[in-house]
Amino acid sequence: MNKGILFVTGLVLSVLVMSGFVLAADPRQAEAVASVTVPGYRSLTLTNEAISFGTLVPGTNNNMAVNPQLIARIGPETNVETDVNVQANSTSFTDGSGHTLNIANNFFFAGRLDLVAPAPSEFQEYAQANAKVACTTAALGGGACTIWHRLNIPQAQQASTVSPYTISVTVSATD
Amino acid sequence: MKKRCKSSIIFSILILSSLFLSLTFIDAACSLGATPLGAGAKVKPGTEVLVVWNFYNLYGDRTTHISVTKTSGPDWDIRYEPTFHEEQYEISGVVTPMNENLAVENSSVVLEIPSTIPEGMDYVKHPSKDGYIPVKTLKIYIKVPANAKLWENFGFTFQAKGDCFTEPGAVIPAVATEMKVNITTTTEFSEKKVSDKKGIIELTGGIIGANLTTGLIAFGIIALIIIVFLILKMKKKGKTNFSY
Repeated sequence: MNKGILFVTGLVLSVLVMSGFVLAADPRQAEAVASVTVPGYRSLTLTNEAISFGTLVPGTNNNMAVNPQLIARIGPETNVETDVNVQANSTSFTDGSGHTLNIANNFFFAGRLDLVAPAPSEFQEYAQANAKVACTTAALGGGACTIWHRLNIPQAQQASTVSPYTISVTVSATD
Repeated sequence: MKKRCKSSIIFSILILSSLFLSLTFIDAACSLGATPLGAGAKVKPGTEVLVVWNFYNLYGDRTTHISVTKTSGPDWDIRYEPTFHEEQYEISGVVTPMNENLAVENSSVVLEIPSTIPEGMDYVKHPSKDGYIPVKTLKIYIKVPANAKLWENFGFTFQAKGDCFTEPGAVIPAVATEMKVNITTTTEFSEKKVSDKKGIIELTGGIIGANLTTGLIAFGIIALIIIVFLILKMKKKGKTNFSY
């Protein structure tokens, strides 16, 4: 009898121990995260530069640049979304003699995907902040955008003496 | 006859004028390429982060002079290598100064990386065709302040502006692009249990539960008590049976 009781006791305890391993087992799956970074490539090429208006008389408006239009090309290796922006690097043209020609209401740009001259309504005013050119190119595989320029010469604008009025502009390719 | 002669003279003048006009405009291609366009790092405060920015000029027909500036981000100590400096260039016989960090000459994709690479240069894999792009490298060192707040993200934007010469004294519209750098401050890895659960018996998720040791001991004790009780009861019955 005592042996039987001991046997049953041992069996029950064994079952409980084994059950503990099974029921309390909390199989955790090891997790590892795989990651990769693909670097971005982007290039911008400007051709037909040196935006030139030639000689303009004061009091004339909507004067288009006389040289072939600026072309902004995004390189075919570009693999990121890209906007083309233009920005004037100062608030006015200067002629090296202290004379200035303010860009506000006078200096404009328009972007097109073709060589057709933009309508007046397509032109945007140059500013010192980045302004997105309407013909933003597609990202992958590159593309080209033509940028046109227009200039008004206010009445009684002082003549440029030492050198022509010039301004520096930046065309940027960004996200 | 006279009229025809006059027309042809006028026509010739017009053609010559247009030729003259077209000759005064120098057709130039100024190009700037860059990679990568973003970078990130997790560093401890007090560390100096190095970001390498590569520039290339595959589509221009002249050298692009590059200057790099930070356009947004906290006022941490930042230095560039090469530093921003003035160089002298002879443009069509006229010596002209240019401020830059570095200059990238126009180049082409190569099929193999040369065995010897000059200092400041490198080659990166072309992303969409066979070959490698020659690049000039700019190093940007960003010093994270020792008292920078932990587990914070600090974002920077760097702009690279490229200028090209056309004729002495003339600089054409600049090309530009940018790179975003994100720095997260961190510290050494450590793990510490915050709440001490002694005295609380966890019996969850099953008969015995997630906590193997506690559950097992509890059930073991209960089982033992039941068994001992049964044994004692059976013994009592046995004694009673033999009491005649």
